[in-house]
Amino acid sequence: MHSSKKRFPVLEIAKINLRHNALLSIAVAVLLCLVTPLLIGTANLDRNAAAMPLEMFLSLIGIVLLTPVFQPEQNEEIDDLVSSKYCSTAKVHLIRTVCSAGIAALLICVFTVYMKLQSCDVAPVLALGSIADALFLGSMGMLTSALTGNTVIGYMPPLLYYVLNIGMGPKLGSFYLFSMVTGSYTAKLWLFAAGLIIIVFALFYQRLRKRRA
Amino acid sequence: MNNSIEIKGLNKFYGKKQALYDVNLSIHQGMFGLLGRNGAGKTTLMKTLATLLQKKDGEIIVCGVPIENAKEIRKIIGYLPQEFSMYPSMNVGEAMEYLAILSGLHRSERKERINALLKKVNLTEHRDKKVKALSGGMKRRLGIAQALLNNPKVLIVDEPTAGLDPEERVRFRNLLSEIAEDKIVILSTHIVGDIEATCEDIAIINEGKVIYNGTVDDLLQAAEGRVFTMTVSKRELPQLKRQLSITSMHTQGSKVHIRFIADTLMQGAKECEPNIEDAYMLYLHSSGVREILGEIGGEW
Amino acid sequence: MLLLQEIKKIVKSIPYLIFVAAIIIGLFSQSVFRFGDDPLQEPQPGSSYGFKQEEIAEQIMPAALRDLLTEFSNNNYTTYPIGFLKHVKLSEGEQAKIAEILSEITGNNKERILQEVAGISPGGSDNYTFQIGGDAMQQDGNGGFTIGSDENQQNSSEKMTFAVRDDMDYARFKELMGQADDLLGGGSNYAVDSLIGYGTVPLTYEEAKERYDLAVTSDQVTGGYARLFSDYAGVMVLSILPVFLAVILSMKDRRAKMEALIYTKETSAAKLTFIRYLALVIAAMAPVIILSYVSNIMVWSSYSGMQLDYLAPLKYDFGWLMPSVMISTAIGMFLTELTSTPIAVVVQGFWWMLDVNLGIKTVHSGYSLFRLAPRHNVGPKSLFRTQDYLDHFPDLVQNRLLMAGIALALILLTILIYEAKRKGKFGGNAFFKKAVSGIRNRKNQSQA
Repeated sequence: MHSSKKRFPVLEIAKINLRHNALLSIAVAVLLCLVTPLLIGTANLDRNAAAMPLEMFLSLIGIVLLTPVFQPEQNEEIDDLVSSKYCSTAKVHLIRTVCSAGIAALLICVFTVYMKLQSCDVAPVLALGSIADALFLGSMGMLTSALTGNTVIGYMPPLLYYVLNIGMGPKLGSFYLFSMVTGSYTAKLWLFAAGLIIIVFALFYQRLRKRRA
Repeated sequence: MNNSIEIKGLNKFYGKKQALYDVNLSIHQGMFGLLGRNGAGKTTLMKTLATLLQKKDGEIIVCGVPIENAKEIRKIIGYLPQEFSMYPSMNVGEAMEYLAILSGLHRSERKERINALLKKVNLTEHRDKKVKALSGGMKRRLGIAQALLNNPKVLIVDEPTAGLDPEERVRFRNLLSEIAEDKIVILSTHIVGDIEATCEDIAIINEGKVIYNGTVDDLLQAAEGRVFTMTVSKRELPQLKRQLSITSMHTQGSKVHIRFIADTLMQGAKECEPNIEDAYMLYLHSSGVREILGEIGGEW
Repeated sequence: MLLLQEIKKIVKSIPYLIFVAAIIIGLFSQSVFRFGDDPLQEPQPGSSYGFKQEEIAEQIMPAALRDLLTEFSNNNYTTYPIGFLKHVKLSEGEQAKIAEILSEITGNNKERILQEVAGISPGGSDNYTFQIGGDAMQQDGNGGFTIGSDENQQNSSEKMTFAVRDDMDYARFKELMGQADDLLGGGSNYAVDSLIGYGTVPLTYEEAKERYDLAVTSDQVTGGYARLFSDYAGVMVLSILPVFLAVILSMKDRRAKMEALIYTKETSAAKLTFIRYLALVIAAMAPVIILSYVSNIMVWSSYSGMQLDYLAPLKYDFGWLMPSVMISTAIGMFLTELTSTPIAVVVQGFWWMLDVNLGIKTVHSGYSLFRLAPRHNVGPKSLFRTQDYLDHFPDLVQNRLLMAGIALALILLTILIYEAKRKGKFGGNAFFKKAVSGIRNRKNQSQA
């Protein structure tokens, strides 16, 4: 229905949610980006070495930005209130997810450009690969948050997966997070696809959870 | 125009536990009261009407729209939950703005509408205050204001005056009465005073079942001849408490004036005009339940 | 009893399940349950026993010089200033200073060095040769150096040859290398305590036997394995996961809106907070203790007949691991109480990441004062390097006591904050909120 689009001003909903619900996570994500060059050299790196700050550090912003997407309505009273409104909460969740993913992608791209300005041999594929990582990690957080109804618990599995990759990385094969450091990029396709699927599943689950009551 | 809510054979379960048993109600324009103890099923019924919960079976038609058509229903209802809360960083104005967007209001109508509603509930000067910094009464008023954003045909208000001080309570009831002039307002409460002040039609719900459905007048009439007063000594009181359904007590020195329900006149008792509290007690009692006085606001 | 109640609350929760699963998976991935596959071998005379590092000037100086030269010629120096990899590129002036250092070490002319060596395409090795006393030096696969002569290189006289001056004083060499390290911002291989990395020397039979003996007598074998377990457990899971339990438990009250209720209860803030803390630490340590024993028991059968320390895992659990658990839990409780947000996860996360990477350089034995997770990752193949452990034991004790001390201090602060909140003095994170809302108000005003 064309008129329904007018009735859900997507941009306005996005703006309000960003301002009131997402500020803290955006701040942490930006902080992570700012701190990364201080912790690890981001200058004069070759293609493989340049993958490290992106894959190993920036991918974490996926967890920071995507996991809390359901958090504002995890307060039952607020949830009841907004659920009785015409605009479905599922749509709001979708808008938030798209915003968060978009911001993550944007930050990663900006950082990649920054690295280029610092004479690193970067290419768009590095940025895309890191975005895939971020999406995958974030999707784990989203799903856990939806399943347990608790955002803080949601942060645990993706972090655990991250640690696991440090400890036994290459054994994870197509789901190895840090493959670009060795010049391999195919795992990113798997991670991206899996990330998207998990995000969609999390959004649907959250929707059904409410209806099933 | 079809302006009523028809509920037929409604059953609702929470897992294995049944919360509502075969509820049949017909609600028309004006203020409708749903009276019952905590846990009786009031909130379950309210939430089901507000499309927040799904029924097991039965039929609910709101102003001609079946409840399954949730989207259409949400266009014509306004809901004020028991505890009103909003995202912590929002102030009154922002909360109204956001909820207005969610209610589907066009940008052109929003500003005017919000201003009018805030004025109606007397919150205009508090526009910039954070929602969580509002007092209980102000929160409730904001709750009503947001529930009216989409100019609903039906207003569902869950426990509106619980926790409010007497002055706020009166103000709120008046506000609701005003609104009920051209809408269906369903009000659930365990405070008899709310019903007394505002409703014509009520239903009493207990343990998931509707045990009374009709007008307040009829309710009082049914209690006619069953309510008595008596003055007793403090010593006799404990025994009497066990024997009789006492609806209120009033201590005066060493004597206690009690008010109670009985089928026949007792020695030393005097018949009196029943009030809603008495009638309520009567119904609960006759459906086999012992009452604790505190719940209906009686005096010890 | 309240403590039991609190423990039950934690143990029955989903985060705890994830916590335990995480510990098991994390440790499993490091094969700590397969220690039995790799028993200690008593060294036999006549085989190779691995390497150690010693300050052998004749070995260190040329090796360090070669690296410096290569990096200088590419103007691409690898450093690890805080444990993370960094590539440093020097300015012209700084390169000149390096050239000066190279000049002093090799006796070659500084200007010539700058001209011919600097600015050469990376990897171009044939513009200069590197020699030790006339013979070209090559690194072999084991990390040692062999010296062989290459006639071609000796004959090309127009090319510069680089070799350490015969009269180079080692102390002065170290000084110069230190200067180079300073120019690079620290963390390079040329730093005074890193130079020893160039002095790789094979272990003799006697040295290997000594290590083995120590492992058997001091560690009583199980100690070495327990230490290895603690290294993994500390760095992988116990320095970060407990903070989640602490944050989630502290925030649960908030979610259940029990704040008002609990704040008016009779139990003193101190008692409640401390019991909560104790419950968290116990709940976190329980699976660790069990797993440490599972890991350790795997090796007992391989050493039947020998004197084993059956309490070793317990000692390490309490002495090594518990302080890490204590402090991550304490940070979780403290910051959550202070800010009413899960920011503790971010803070602890940062510290943990930093610590893990700082530890990469000292993974063999790292016990500096502020380490969150001490490292001693040498397995039975290296015969546990018990001597290193014993040498650094006082440091370890200091560090662990400090961590435990800070943890308790934080809990004390948590109690104070909780108490203040009860009395209504502390507006929660009033300071925080004021700052944030101040910024927002300013923004709103400018928009209006």
